[in-house]
Amino acid sequence: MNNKIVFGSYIPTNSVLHRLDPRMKLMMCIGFVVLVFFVNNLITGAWLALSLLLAIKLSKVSVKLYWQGLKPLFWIILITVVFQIFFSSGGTVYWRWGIMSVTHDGLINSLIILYRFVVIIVASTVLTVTTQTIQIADGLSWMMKPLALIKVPVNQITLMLSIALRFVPTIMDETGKIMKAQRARGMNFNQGNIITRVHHLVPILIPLFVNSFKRAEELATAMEARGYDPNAPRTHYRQLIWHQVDNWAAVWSSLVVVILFILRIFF
Amino acid sequence: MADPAITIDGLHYHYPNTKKEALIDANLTINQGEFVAVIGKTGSGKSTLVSLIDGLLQPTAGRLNVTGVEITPTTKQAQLSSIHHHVGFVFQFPEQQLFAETVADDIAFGPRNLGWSEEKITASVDEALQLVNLPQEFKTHSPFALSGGQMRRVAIAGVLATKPAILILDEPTAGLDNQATNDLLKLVDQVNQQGTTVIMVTHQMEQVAEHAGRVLVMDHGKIIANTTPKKLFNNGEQLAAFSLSLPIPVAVAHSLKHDGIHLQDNEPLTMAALADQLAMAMRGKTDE
Repeated sequence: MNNKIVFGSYIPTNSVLHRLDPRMKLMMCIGFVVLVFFVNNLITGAWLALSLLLAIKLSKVSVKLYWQGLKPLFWIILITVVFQIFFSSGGTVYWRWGIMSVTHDGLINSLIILYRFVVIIVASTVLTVTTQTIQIADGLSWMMKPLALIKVPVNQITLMLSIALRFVPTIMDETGKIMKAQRARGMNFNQGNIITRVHHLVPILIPLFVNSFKRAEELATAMEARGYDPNAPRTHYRQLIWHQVDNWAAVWSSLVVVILFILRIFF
Repeated sequence: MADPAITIDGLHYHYPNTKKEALIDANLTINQGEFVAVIGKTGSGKSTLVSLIDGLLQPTAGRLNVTGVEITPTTKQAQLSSIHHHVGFVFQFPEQQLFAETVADDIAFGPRNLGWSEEKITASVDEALQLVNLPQEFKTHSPFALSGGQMRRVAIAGVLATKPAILILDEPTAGLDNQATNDLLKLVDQVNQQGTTVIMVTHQMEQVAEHAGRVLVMDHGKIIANTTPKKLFNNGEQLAAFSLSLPIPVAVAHSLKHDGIHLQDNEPLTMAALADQLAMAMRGKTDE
């Protein structure tokens, strides 16, 4: 728990991207993820990677930090890519052993998957690094507004979301404390086989759950005591304001899309 | 009595990813059987110091020796963990670490981790329950069905069950009512009298005055005073400079002195001592 830099935590650098409206950033991020699936060759892939690099540059956050964001997911990416290499077929066969084979198409597919993984993770890290979680929640709730027409409890969902986000650091902190307390009682995390190690989770998870339930109950009581009514119309303390710079971001995003499709047509 | 339980030599600690040192050049000897209070503002390095003594953190420079176990920045993890055989650590709100299905199982967690035999564990669980003044039939209860004060006592029993030579307590009375606070401090005194070295982090000056034989004042990662409670409270100005307050009996004695009434002992550490001093001062007058 010593390492406080968590994957995708907000880093205040006051860049242009930080000042953008969270709604714009959310739409850009979602749009980008969709665009990644329209990449069909090296040129289009390079174009999207280039626009992502520009976003990284604009965020004024060091590339090293993005790399640290990727590292915890390294194993998942690696396993997926290796599966893709050995278990997909098609094209020239280079090597075969039982059901496993390395083929031309398999290699290409695994490269595409690697590219998608990295680009999507980095793009969402750009969002979370430049936008406070509370702003993301605000942006999401704005985007969900139309769902209220079909009787989706948007306000409650938003509240749940922001409460959940709010308590992530609290729970991280508490995990550290509980681990320390159990270590002081002679527990050794780095010892034993996989089964003993799973057993080691019990003295950490149970107090964590118990305390979380307790905290949730206290929070609910506190909210009720202050007159919270889930069905009352809500106003927002933080207002989202659309600025000129957001319009420019919209223009730029449309340009990225148009150029991607032009490149698709010509190459 | 005079055997050093803990010796600390030029100890430094630096949390990763931070610029400031949490502990700067600490030098300290604590003898077996002492009762040491550690005071200071939040973030002054109290918790860092006691965590280092329990081997929960590894020093970044310097060395310390805890009951014969030598720790330096290059000490192996296994050796650090071996300190837990000798040191018990009662954290703030220790009831938050309870997890087992029964009180007995929870108390037995520490001894079990240390690899004791089952008979020895059962005996130590019984003994620990008795020590914290809980009835034996609680053993089969769920710790989560108990009251807050009882949960804390179970948690403390869980630490005492390993029979530590050194007991560290981090604000053990936070959130307890008066009665429970007094009971708990009495228990700590009792454990101390049986020869256990006690190190207690606290914000209550009255607790320092009444229980500790020695007091460490910490500020910005440095031990800025290492003295007896009497000497510390004698110097009111210095105390104010550390932004600490006087315990009530001493404060009363000092303001009496300010108003021209001199007590024989200017730093009575307990209410009873203050009452004695007052009685003496008054008798003096009526006798004249």
